[in-house]
Parts: sequence; C-alpha cells; structure tokens
Amino acid sequence: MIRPRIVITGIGVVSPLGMSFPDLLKAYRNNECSATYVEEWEDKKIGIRTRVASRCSNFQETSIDRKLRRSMSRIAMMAKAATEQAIEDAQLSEAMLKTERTGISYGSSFGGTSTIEDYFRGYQNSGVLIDGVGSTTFLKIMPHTCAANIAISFGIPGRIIASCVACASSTQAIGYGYEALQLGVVDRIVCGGAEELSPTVAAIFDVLNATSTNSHHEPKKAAKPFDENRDGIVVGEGAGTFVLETFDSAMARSATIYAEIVGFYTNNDASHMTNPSVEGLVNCMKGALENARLSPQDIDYVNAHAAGTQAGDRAESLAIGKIFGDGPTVSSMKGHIGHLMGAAGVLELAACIGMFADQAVYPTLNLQKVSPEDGGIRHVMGEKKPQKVHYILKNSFAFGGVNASLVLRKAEGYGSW
Amino acid sequence: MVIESMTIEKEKAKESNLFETTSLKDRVNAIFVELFELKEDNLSEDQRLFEDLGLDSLDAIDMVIRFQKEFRIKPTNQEIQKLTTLGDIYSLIDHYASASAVSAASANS
Repeated sequence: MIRPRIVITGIGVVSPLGMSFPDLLKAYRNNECSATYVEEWEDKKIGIRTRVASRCSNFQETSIDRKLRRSMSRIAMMAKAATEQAIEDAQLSEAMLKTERTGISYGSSFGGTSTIEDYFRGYQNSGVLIDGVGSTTFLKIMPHTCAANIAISFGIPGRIIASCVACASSTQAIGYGYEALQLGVVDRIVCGGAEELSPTVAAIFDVLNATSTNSHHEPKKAAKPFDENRDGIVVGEGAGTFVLETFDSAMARSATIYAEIVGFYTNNDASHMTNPSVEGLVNCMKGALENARLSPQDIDYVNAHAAGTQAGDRAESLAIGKIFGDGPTVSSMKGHIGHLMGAAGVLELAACIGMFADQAVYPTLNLQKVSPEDGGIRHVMGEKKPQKVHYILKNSFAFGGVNASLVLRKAEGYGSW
Repeated sequence: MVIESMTIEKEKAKESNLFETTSLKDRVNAIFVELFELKEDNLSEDQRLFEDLGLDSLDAIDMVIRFQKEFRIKPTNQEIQKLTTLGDIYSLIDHYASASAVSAASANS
C-alpha cells in the first residue's frame, strides 16, 4: 500500500513564551524562559507548595461572540485563538473548512479546570449540589471541550478525535490526525492540544511530589530536565494548533510546508499509572521508527518529553540510550517553557520546526550538570548547536502510562518553509 | 372614619404594588442585560425571547435558574414553555410575587 505523505502547513500558538509561532520561535532561539513566581499561590487556602508556573499572562479573549463564549472555559478560548492563527497561516478557505472532509484532532488533560473550581464554589456557598451547575457547565469542563468549541467556532463539520491522555494529548492528537489522513478519511485536519492552569491542576502534581518547590526565588531556573539538581516540573498553560494535509494537497494549492510527518506510534505501559516503564517507552519509539521505515541511525535529534522529574527523566534517558546509544543529540524544551501538559507536545514540536529551519538543535535550558542517572545519551547544553537536522523523533509521555512518539522530516524543495 | 382609613390603605397597597411591578421589570431587565449582554433600550414587553432577543434553549435554562435564585420562585415546566415574550416573563414573576404577597398577608392575619 502506498501511503500518502502528510505535511504541516499551518501553525498557531498561544504560549507563555510568545503569542504567535514566530514569537515562540524567537524565544526558543534566544534561550528565554517563561516561568514566573506566582504570588497568589502563597494563599494558605490553596495549600500547594510550588510557587512557580509558566502562564499566558498576555492572553485575553474579549472578541468572542456570547453564544460561542458561554461554552468556553479559558482552555477552549486559548485553543480557539491558536486555531484561528493556524487556519490563517495555512490559508484554508471557508470552503475548505466547511466540509466533512476537514476534521479536528485535539486533546487536553482536563477540560476547563477553572469552571470545575467555579462549580465547587457554587456548591460550597449554598450547600446544594446543583447550585454550582449552569446550562453550559458541562460544555466547559467536558474533555473534548477544545475540539467541540473549535468545530463550532470555525464551522468545521468533519470528525472529531479528542485525545485526552494528559501530557501526551497533543502529540497523540497530531499522530491520530496523521493516521486519519493516511487512511484517506479526511483531506485536512486541525490538530493540537491545550491546557489552562488553575490551582487545582498545580495541586494534582504537587500532591505527587512532582512540582518544583525549591526555586521560588529563581523561577527561571526552576525547570531543570536531566540535571542532577532538578526538583520537579513547572506547571503551565497554553495552546498549539497544526494544520495537517497531504503533500499532494499542499503542493496543489502551493501551501507553505513546515515539515513532513513520517512516523507515529502510541502504546501504554499497562504496568503503573505514574511510574514510567522503560520497556513501554522503548517500544513506543521503536514503533514510531518502524512506522517511518527508518532505523535509529537515521534520527539526527530526539526531542525528549523530559519534564524534570527524576523518575520520568531517568526512564526516558535509559530508553533513548537503549535504542540510539549516544547517536542523536537529545534535549527537552521544558527548561524554556515549563510543562504545558495538553499543549506540551505541539508547542515543543514547534521548536523542532525551528531546528529544521536553523539546521541547529536547541539546548535543554538550565541543564548544567547531567544527573548520573541520565548519562549515556548526547545532551545538548548551553547554546544552540549547529548540526544536520533531517529527521527528528519527538516523545510525549503521560500519567496513565500513555506514550506517544512522532517522527518528522525536514521539508525539502518547493514550498518548504 | 373606618371606611376612609380602609380606602387609604387600599390606595397605599395599590401604589406599593405598582412600585413593585416596576421594580420587578427593572430586575428582570437587569438580568437580561447581564446574562445575555443585551442593551436595556431593546428590552420591551413585546420583544419575543427567541426571535427578537436571540435567546436559545440553553439561555432559557440559565434564565430560569437565575429567576429561581433572584425571586425565589419555582415556575412549572408548563409555565416556562408558555413564555414567548418579555411581557410574559414580567407577568409570570408578577403572578408569583402577588401570590406570595397574598400568602404573606394571610399568614399575617
């Protein structure tokens, strides 16, 4: 079977590091960090220990029509804004959007967590359970709130795939979009993920001892993936959207091609909910290579999930080492942007697009001394490193034991970015 | 003298009812401005909720939830389904307000 080639032709970004793809890329290139101290979290009624987060403080959505806005929590507003950029960037016409041949594949860990908090506040105030519920409460908190709100905002009537697998959500969403295109069931698909930050989200990671708690006075140094002094993740929020279509479709309409997706695989550990299995990660990366019909030697660079937790970084280092040895370079973007959960994969892939263009790989920010547990692979530290970047493998892993890996190829020739 | 004082009481009650009715309208209108972001100038008795004011079934639910909280009333589904215009809403709430005034009066006596 000849598989159609799948390419990325539009990118939209709402992120703590920049409110557009060019701005995000500029920040990655300049080794900027978006983490800040969060004063509100000193409140003892919140009770969490972490005080750092990566937030989209500049994001404000005021121009959405009331009937669309009433079913949106912050997460869906960010997803809509990122998607608007991506659709414009890809120059998709109204006719291309308003057909069932256009789909949506979008994920997140939660729906609108601020709405969940509003619900409990209503309940708490009156003591009557239903008092926290309105007609659109479910529409704001449902797991597929981003996908459904994107559909109604842009009038896209095709299939919805809602990959709600926590921190692997957007990588899996892009992978499922790629598979839907290869199956020929859609002609183009809007893919990505989002997350909104609220104290509840921070608390979930905080209680598992997964957040950074020792860097309140140096928030920009809090997230330190692979470093011997790492102390956990910096939670964050944002949204990222890619437009995917076949190579032939992109060529026919002279679209700009950012990169080609050549491989995808996803599996789960089926062993422990939060403690990653090296075997599961190895099988996931191998599956993606096999799907791409590539061997480990073909990969120039691995964009790691590495969030800055001991268990997660260690398992991933071991898994990468088992497959690739010290072949490709490896780095994580979470030192720059924190852990954006549902938006993590797509906004880290945005960095990979920049690396293809620059023919250089970006470092793991704040990685000063590699932890002995994370040795045996080629870490990128300090400044960006010029090298050949033709194939990139990108990992995303999630609580629940979910793993997802994508393989991307640099766009070459006509139409490439 | 007794008759005279009763007449005065009636007049007072009438005035108070009128005042209440105006106040109810204002309160309903304020809810419409807040929930549905409508301009107060556009709110008149003859305006149809769906066709003229642009509400839909979800809005109708939030509207009733708000009336329950604001006026402490529990209209039946039948009563709600009969609501077509803003005037119907004023009448419904006024009906509940009068009923509760009557029951309050009889409780007092």
